[in-house]
Amino acid sequence: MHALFASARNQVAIVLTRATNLATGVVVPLMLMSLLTLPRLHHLDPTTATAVFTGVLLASFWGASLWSGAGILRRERDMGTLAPSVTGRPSALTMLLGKTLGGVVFDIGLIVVTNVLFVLAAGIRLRIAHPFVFMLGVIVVVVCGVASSLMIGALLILSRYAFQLTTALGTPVMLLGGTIIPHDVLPPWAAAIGNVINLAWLQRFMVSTATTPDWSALLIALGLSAAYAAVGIVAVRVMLRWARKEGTLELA
Amino acid sequence: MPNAIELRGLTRRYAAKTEVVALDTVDLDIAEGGVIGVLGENGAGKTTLTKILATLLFPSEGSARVFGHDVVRDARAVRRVTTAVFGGDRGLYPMLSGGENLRYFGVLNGVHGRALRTRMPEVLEDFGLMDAADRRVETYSKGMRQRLHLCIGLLTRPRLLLLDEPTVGLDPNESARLREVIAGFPRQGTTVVLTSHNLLDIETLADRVVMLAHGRIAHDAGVDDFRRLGGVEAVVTVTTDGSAVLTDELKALGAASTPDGSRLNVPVARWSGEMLARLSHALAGQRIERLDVRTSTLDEAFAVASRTETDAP
Amino acid sequence: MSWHEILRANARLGWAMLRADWPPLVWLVGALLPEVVRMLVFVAIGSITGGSEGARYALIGCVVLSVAGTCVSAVTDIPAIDVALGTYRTIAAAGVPVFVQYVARALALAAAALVVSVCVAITLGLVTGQPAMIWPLVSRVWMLLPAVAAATMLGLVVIAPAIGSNWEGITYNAATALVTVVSGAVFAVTVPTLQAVGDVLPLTHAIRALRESLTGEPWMGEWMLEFAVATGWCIIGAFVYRAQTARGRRTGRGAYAA
Repeated sequence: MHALFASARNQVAIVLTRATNLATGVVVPLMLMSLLTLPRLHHLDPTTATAVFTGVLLASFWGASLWSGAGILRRERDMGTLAPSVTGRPSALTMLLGKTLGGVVFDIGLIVVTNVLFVLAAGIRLRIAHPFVFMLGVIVVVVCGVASSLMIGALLILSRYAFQLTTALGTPVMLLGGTIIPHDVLPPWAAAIGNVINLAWLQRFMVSTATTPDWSALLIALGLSAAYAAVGIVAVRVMLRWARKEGTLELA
Repeated sequence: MPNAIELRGLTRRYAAKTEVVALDTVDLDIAEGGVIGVLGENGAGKTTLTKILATLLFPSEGSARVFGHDVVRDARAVRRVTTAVFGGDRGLYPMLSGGENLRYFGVLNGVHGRALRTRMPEVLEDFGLMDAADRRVETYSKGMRQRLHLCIGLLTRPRLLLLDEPTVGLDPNESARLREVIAGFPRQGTTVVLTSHNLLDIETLADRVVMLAHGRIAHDAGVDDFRRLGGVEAVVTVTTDGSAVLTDELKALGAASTPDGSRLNVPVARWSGEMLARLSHALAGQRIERLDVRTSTLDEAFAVASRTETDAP
Repeated sequence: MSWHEILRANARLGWAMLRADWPPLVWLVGALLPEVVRMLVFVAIGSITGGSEGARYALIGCVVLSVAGTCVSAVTDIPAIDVALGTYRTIAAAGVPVFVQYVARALALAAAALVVSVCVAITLGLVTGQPAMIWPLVSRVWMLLPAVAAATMLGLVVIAPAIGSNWEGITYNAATALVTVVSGAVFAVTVPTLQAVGDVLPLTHAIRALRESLTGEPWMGEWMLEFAVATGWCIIGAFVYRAQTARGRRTGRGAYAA
């Protein structure tokens, strides 16, 4: 546990020094909230507003986890801190999970604050019929986010074109992920693709908290995230083993 | 009681356009306790060996064990008893303070809670970084970064401490201070493996010297025996009033004189009572103003040993 | 070397760097495709907030908006790389103002932006069920020239004070996001403050000109206003880089120090 919290704390300390996180945590949510609410401010009902709030949270968080969370491994390698981080006494996975968790909690916190300030400034009313269930949803978003970030980070680290691939992954998921663009706006085949993205089910659950919580959506989101986590864990192990074999942990 | 380190046929190859063999069937046993210096020219395999022992690198063939634990199969067990310090400009978070780096890496090295809070100021004080602890590492000089690496590595008292070029970037006073600290480790039960190009480190600290050349062990000897590889244990310099005479007896000892006749240099292969008597007899009759004895250095031994390896068929 | 040789050398360098950083397949997957999808997201948002009319509105706007990703964001790499590699001092000593050299170097990116724009028009026209819009939009891509110029100037300006600092990433992200919201690309901006901001930022007038051209209304006025915006940001850019370079020489510190 010490190691998990130490690495989470370390990652938060790092992101606090990087203004880039403001891009994903403040700029993007503000932009999306503006685009989705300003054109219809006068006739925006609270239920729709809440769906926009959670959709922007998830869509922005997806961007944040790509650029921030998934970049953790790559940045650690560039700084030369990957080797000591994964070959210390605590397990490599614990350290990486902790770092990812720290980054995710920071990002989500920042996005939530941004969204809240926006709705307050714009005078938008939300409808949250089940506050505790809503909070549970936010916690699940954190958990799912850790899984996604870990998986993508591990898969991207060895690519020379990690930056370009990260860019390539960002927008399709924003389109198909069922967050800011509801699936009923998309053609059926596109919506079907979106159903393997945990964000879509998370959004479904979060929107449902305005009326009756859709627990099956939550379970599916968790199930998908567990699958992402499994892929991520395997990818991390394979990556580390390969790096130790090829001597690419880049010590000094 | 298992050895601290056991290497059996240890081989490491790097695939490149032409394959590079960094370590070539190395066999080595290092008992627990003491300080072992690992020497070698650049590319000899010193850092590769350290990386394998630190579980950063797999061997290509053979095995390496640390206190009986295999570095590949029991990597976690090896990490529990080993700390490696590689130093350099990287391996630290430049955007965080020295203290924050120390806190994080302390946990990685198994130190946390009260132990960490107690040890942190001690190591910072030991290495003169107390005043800079709250500053970002990106503002540190090269020497300060090296010292921070050492602070991190020396937070714990591991059973095996691997130090790779620890005095790089340190000024003479800092290097001397570090040697003092390292000298205390064996007394506390830590085995130290030290690679360094600064032969003063090896000379001052090591009990045993292992020299690598082209990935193989070229020499493995006590420090004094290694020093004698240069062929001499000491050089006696005799300063005269300018009238030094190179007698046949002195020539037989291998002596040489300076062109102006003011000094005679007599190499001593090995000190003994007989040698002392011969020298005394050979110098009788010389008008000696001063006599200096200089012990041969590891630099000289290293130079000879390296030349031998280069010239070897 | 004469000034035009220097500018030609910069233009060639820009093209070489574009090819090195973005080989064709990588550019397709990592730059073009994401930009097309990003614009599709905005058109979908237009559809959500304004129905089919909103989708059409956003389609037209997004054909222009698509240049922002290249001209505002990617162009910021040009000065940033020089500073990071230590080549800025050579550029600054070349005898042609740094800003002008960078504009020349950005020509390759500007051309790429127009290609993206054409691809966006075709793809989005097909995907959103508005194929009749494709040719009218593609045939008017030349109208984006002042928008490309203005956006490039803005990109070079916003990055200048942030180079070498932690704020690099956020400057062009914020600039692109602001342009996206206030340019009227995705929705008609009615808030006076946002309109005023949009009037002095790139793309706004070009988007209006394009809309007017498509409906047969007079468009030259708005088009010329886009040139005026480009000129304004050009003047600002020239001043900013001159001031930064002079400060670097004077203080010997910071990203622009020799």
